[in-house]
Amino acid sequence: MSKQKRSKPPVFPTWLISQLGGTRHVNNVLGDMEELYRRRLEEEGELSAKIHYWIDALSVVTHRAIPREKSTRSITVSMELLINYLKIASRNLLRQKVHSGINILGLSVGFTFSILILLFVAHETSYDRMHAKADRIYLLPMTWNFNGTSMPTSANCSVGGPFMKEAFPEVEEFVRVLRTSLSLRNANDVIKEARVYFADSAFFRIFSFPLLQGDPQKALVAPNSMVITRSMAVKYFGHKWENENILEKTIIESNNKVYQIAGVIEDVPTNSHLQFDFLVSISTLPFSRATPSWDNSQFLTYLLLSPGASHERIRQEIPNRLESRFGTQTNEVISLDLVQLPDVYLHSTVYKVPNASDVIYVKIFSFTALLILVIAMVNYVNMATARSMERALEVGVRKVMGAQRVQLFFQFLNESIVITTISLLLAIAFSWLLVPAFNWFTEKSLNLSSLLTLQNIAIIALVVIVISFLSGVYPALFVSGYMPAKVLKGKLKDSLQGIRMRKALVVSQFLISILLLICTFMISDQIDYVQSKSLGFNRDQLVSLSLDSISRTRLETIENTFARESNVSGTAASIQLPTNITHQTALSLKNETDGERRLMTAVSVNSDFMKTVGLQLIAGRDFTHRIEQTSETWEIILNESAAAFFGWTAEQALGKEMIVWQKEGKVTGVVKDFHFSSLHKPISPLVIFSGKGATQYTNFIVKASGSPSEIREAFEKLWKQAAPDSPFLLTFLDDQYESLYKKESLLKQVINLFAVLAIVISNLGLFGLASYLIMQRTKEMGIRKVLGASPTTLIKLVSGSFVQLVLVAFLLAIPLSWYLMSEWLSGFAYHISFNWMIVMIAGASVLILALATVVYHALQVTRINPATTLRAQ
Amino acid sequence: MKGTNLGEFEEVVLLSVAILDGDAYGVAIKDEIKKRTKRNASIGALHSALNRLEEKGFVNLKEGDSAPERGGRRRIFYTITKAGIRALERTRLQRNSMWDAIPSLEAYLKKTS
Repeated sequence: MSKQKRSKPPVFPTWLISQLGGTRHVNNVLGDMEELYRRRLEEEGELSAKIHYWIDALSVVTHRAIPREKSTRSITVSMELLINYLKIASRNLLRQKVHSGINILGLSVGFTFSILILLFVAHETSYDRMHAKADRIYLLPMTWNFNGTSMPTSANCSVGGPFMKEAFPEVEEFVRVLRTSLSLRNANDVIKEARVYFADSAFFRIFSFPLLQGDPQKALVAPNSMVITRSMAVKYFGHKWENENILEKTIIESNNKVYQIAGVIEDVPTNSHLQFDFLVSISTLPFSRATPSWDNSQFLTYLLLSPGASHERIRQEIPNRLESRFGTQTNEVISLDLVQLPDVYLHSTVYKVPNASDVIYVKIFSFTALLILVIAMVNYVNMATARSMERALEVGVRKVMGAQRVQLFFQFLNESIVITTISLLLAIAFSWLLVPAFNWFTEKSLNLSSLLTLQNIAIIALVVIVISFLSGVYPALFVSGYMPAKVLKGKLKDSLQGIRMRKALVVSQFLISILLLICTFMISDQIDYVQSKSLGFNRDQLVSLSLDSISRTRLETIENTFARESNVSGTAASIQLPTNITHQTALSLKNETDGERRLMTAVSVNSDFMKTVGLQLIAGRDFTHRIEQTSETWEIILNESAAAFFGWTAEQALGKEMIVWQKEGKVTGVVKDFHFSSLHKPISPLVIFSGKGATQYTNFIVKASGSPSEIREAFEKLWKQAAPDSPFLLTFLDDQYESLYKKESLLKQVINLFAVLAIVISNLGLFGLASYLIMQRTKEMGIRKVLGASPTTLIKLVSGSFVQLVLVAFLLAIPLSWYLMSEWLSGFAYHISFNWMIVMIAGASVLILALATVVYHALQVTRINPATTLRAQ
Repeated sequence: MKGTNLGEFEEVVLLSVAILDGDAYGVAIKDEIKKRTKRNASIGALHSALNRLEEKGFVNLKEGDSAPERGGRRRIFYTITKAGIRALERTRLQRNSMWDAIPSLEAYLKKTS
């Protein structure tokens, strides 16, 4: 049999024709068409046969070659009805341009933001699922427990991974990842690359990052091997890197260390919580750092479990294995946990995984989008029921002509489907335009086309149907229930039930608007408070320059160079910046055993630190000058909280001896409490120490005056003189501090936007509703005017009922917003109190807007000359 | 009387049915028309004409056997009825009498050219 013999005519036209009428005619026509199709297939080939088949089918339709069945209700009959409904719907839409416009505008704005939020949520929930073995990969975070203080951390100790593989046969592989930065030479420049991971060679056996070049098995084995992403290949080797054998190339660090390129991968997708440009083999690290020990948690550790292994069982078993392997004490201090890879991004907040987010933001975003949609839907319901009087006559006539209630119901539902569909199409266009702005706003790179999956299209279709139904069903039921006799006699009055329903809906709209507005005000107030709060030192004048391994050795030269500058009033160096000290260290008093150690925040600094940052001592003295070069033991300055933690007064603390970083030290001073991390947390005990052996400073801090741009320019010149081989990386502490509250700023902006939208949409609704209801009272107004009512009385009369509704909404919003905001504010250790002024302002502004909307219409009605309205009677 | 007159295309189709003498079904009629008049009748036009002829009672239908080349569907054969023959004759007579009424065809042609 030849291939052509098996070819079948196209399915769609065949189906179409089979729908047109009874079997006899259909089979007659289709038989002829198929016969012709086969003949042409033989004579002219498949393409021509198919094209002619389509043409034939078309001719059958246009010539009405198949008579319609008369007895049964075929699809064409209901199709005609549907077309009629569509026609009626579009006529109604066109007749009521303002009302349809308000409905469509409101709904499409609601849809637009829902689509954008859907895009965002889809992206957030897609994290780390691109790995083939994602369901078997687990992050191994740990928690330190010292004397009742517990510190969860995403990074594990160097021994965590090896221990798990040894203790559990289900653990197939482990990979340890150390996040760091390198200063690399590119032509004549030195670039600070911040996205560098050191990783075990199992990296590519666990994660699915396909290599464009190189061997995944060998790439991370040899010391000094480096795998780079495509963009880095372009950056360091030019656009034509693919034409050359990249595996022969090298990249050189600023200290002249040479890295051999061992592979190139695609850029890491944005929806991965592992974000890097360079992967370096872990064997490159100095021996001491990767040697298995429980000393320091610095490696993100991932495990690959064998298929079918139960992570729950492993999790429960960990303490036993820890104890049998390392003893009771280790088991008390350390606890390990397993987090499945796809959960790391949204559901492991306690461990503070780098680049991870929190599911709460997904929830807040979705919830606000839903609120906006509800407001828009309420607009539709309100206006549809209010206007139903106009449609009553149509309904009456249709009923008299024999229309069933069900048919009428579907006719009105159909109108809401039309409106919803138009709004959705508009919304797709809007969101397409808004995606770039939205990306800028959320700092993501989202793409609308990523929503074009079958699942999402199904979701959107479902949403359209549900929304049409929700917003259409009440008006449809309402209108289709009219009694024709009453309607046609003209005895219909707006029903009490309808009025109540509308009132309830208007109240709910304004409730949401006022609520969002109060939240916006509160959140921005709190953020302002945080940003203006005095931290105990003046961060405005502080600038930090990053130190790397080379510039660190030249610290003295750098200090001298900067000290000569006239606008510089002090310099210092530290391991962490005073605005965000997070490192925790185990600490004990001199006469204590190891078991009594406790975790405490600690920072190593040089002797100028206190003076330059401007911290205020309340007891004792500052560090001895150049202590970091001269003293084998530490000099320690505690903050008030630390002294209080040990039960000492500031004076008592002086001279106490303690062990930090396995070395002895003596307390020489106590500093007044200052905020050294985000205001979410209360000020905790802090240990500031200095001495030999803790000089791995990463920040050179300068106290300087002048404008930011001047400072940047001047300092870059100085830096080039003092440390030509190190990258110039300048941070203003002010900016750094603000970045601690990035999530809050984003939240503020989102709620802000949504509050504005909510107010605009509900006022649009009110505008429509008021215009309609007030126009109905034109005659009443005319009579009142004739009888001597003043315009002011009239305006009061008509706007009073609306103002009432907004007031009710306001009263309801107060306790709700109080509850919500108290919850949110309690997330900050230092926060503003619930501000009643804000509540009043929010309520008043919404009220004024609503009043303005209503009064606009009221004015128009009162201006009409009563003669024109009453002439007809 | 409405329904007894033959349209031009209907006449062609009915004539083909008569010519085919019992073997007339859709594709065969289409082929016959093509052979005799060089006209390419579309399937839609053809069937709509056949339906009208059936309605007017000029053709009868008979189902044939199912045919594999038609995807297993039966052929429907059309045969001309007495009324159909009368209609064809009437049309022919009308035409003939009108032809005869032209005084002289050649003279007419000269006049108009």
